Amino acid sequence: MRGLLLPLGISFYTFLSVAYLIDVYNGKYQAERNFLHFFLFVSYFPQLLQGPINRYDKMKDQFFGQHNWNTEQSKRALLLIGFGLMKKFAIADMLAGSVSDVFDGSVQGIPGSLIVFAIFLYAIQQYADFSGGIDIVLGVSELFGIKMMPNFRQPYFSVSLGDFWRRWHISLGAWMRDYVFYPFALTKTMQRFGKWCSQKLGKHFGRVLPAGIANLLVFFLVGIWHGAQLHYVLWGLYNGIIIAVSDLLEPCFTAISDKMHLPVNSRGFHVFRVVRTFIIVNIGWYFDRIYDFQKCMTCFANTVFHFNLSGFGTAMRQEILNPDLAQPVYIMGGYVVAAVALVIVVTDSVMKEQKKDVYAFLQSRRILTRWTVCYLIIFLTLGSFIFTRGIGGFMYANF
Amino acid sequence: MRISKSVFKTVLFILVFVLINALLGFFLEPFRGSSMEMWQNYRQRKNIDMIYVGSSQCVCAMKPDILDKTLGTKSYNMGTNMQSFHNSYLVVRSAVKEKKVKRVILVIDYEMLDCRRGRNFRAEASFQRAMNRGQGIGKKVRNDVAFVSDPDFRGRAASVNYFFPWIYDRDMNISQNVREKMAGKVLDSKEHRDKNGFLPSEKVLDSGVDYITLANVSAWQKEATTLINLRMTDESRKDLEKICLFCRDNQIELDAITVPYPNFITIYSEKSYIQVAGELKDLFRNFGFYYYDFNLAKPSLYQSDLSCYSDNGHMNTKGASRFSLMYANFLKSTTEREALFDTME
Repeated sequence: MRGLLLPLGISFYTFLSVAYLIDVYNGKYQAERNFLHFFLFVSYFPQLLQGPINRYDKMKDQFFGQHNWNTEQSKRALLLIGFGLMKKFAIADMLAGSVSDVFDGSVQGIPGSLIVFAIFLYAIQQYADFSGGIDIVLGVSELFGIKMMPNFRQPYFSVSLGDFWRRWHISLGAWMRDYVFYPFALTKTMQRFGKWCSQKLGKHFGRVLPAGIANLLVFFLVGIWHGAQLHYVLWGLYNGIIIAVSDLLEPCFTAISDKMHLPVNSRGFHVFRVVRTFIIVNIGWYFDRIYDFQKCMTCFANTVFHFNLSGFGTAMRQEILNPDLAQPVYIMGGYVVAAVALVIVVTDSVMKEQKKDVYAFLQSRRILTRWTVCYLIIFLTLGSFIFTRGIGGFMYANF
Repeated sequence: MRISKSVFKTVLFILVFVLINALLGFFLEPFRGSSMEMWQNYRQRKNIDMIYVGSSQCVCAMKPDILDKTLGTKSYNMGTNMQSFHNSYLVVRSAVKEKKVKRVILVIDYEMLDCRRGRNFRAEASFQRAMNRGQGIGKKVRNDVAFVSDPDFRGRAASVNYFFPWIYDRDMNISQNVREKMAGKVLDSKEHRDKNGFLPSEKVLDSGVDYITLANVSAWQKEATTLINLRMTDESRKDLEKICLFCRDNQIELDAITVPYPNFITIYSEKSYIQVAGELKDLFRNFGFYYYDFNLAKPSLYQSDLSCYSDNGHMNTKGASRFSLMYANFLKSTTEREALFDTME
């Protein structure tokens, strides 16, 4: 397949078109008679490269309605664009080199502690890269007065893997739910299978088993969509299996927490669930980021059997802060930039999680605070280029 | 009233932005960076009839005063760090036009042969900014537009970053830099060029390291696991051809050389090295010029030891003096030159 030329944004283009065809077939809305209108929908430039996967019924009126200049909306859009650029350049690009240093060479002998550190960096890089890119395109679209579908809702605050997937790449999850999960789960065969399970295994299994199989199919497809490679398929299946198994075992978990009198509604338990989900998601990132299966297994083995926390410093100096690869001062400088930018991102996420409108909050502050935030975003982004080790494109533009 | 208030706020926001930017520039941009120093001294020099162009290898190897003594020339070293062949062309063109230079010594750094300009942004942008200094506003704007709209940079972060020099042209020794700016002069001449553009260095390469020589290269090639496959990009080829064409059309004497450095064959595969050396010879020959790689010079012509180098790829003052003297005599002599070099075949 090397050298095969594919149209830009082919997968997003396809998702949009398929959703449109199915919705029209199901009578959700009328078919568009004007080809140029349809063409505008599928080729609307902000969504082409990495989504979000918009729906025609949500976009039609916005495309063809009247738009007037709105200063507030434009300021909001510009702040979002700046925030997205900061995520991409001041966080994702600052960490990408370190992740690559660990996983793109030989992983033999690398202690688990460094592997876990690199996976943690990858979790941040991946989120900053993808959500940063989405912030930019949402902002650009908003400048035209067109609101696109949101694609992220603080995913690392999820309390379960299922919850994570309702907060990460939301438009893909919704697409899979509407056009794969439900159509498959509601087939006659699956309904008969559900009834059979209810009779033989009980009501819970009758409800959860068909959904689990549908989830496996969905995540298998999500894996394949990321790339026709074994590691992506495994990553998809890992997510599908964990969600299916956790649904199946839900009564057991409830029974255990009841028996142990766990305060499941307390703040502490909520934090525990967030941390647990973060760990589960990060295990999945092993499959996603380590392209070679053998290597991936070695990394898992090293994480479990050769964690070697005391060897972290030496391994760090050898694999990441190695002067033969790049000047350590630049890598550390990059980490500092990423850390400061991350404080802004986390603050933004916490406020959004508390259902606060961050822009409105900033607008309510004094001009000095507002401008300090703006300058911080701008100069962190510009300053990040001092430490950059090569600018890659957006990760999700590859899919 | 409302409009004027928002316009005022916008203008104030931009002014503060410019001020912060200027402050960062004051702290980070070097008082006299290498490129800036080269162009400033070049503009101050009255008579120049021969120039040396190329990367830092050129800056550290070509000592104009020694060559001038033997050849009777008035030469100036116009090499800059990571100077691409595109920029070498700009240097040659400018020197011929402004100083009526008659001879050009082009030092070919093998690392630059497969270096795309887009990946060499820091050096490219620093060079461009330094070249622009002292030019008229019209020319400056034209040069800036040409740079940011160049296919290697347009549409990339580089085309924006270019307008913020503290990002790419910076001195991390901030306190020294600020002191020099306050004093308005260079306080520590270390790491600064002499008036002829040569960069002196007393550093000596750690002699505990063994480098591959032509004598043991075959054995090394079997043993080494990660050798770089040396290649010349089409971009580099075109730029070199442009230099040749310009020199031929303007009756400029052009000599292309590669200066010796310790790890020349340690890092590249022997096969690719021979191939590229051959390609370079052919390229220059097609325009009636010569190319010599002094890494392949026979001991009867030139011999150096590790005490002549400051690091893997650069000569120190001792090495530059020795090499420049030899090269001046080489240029002067009329003996058969090809026989003085190993062919590696």
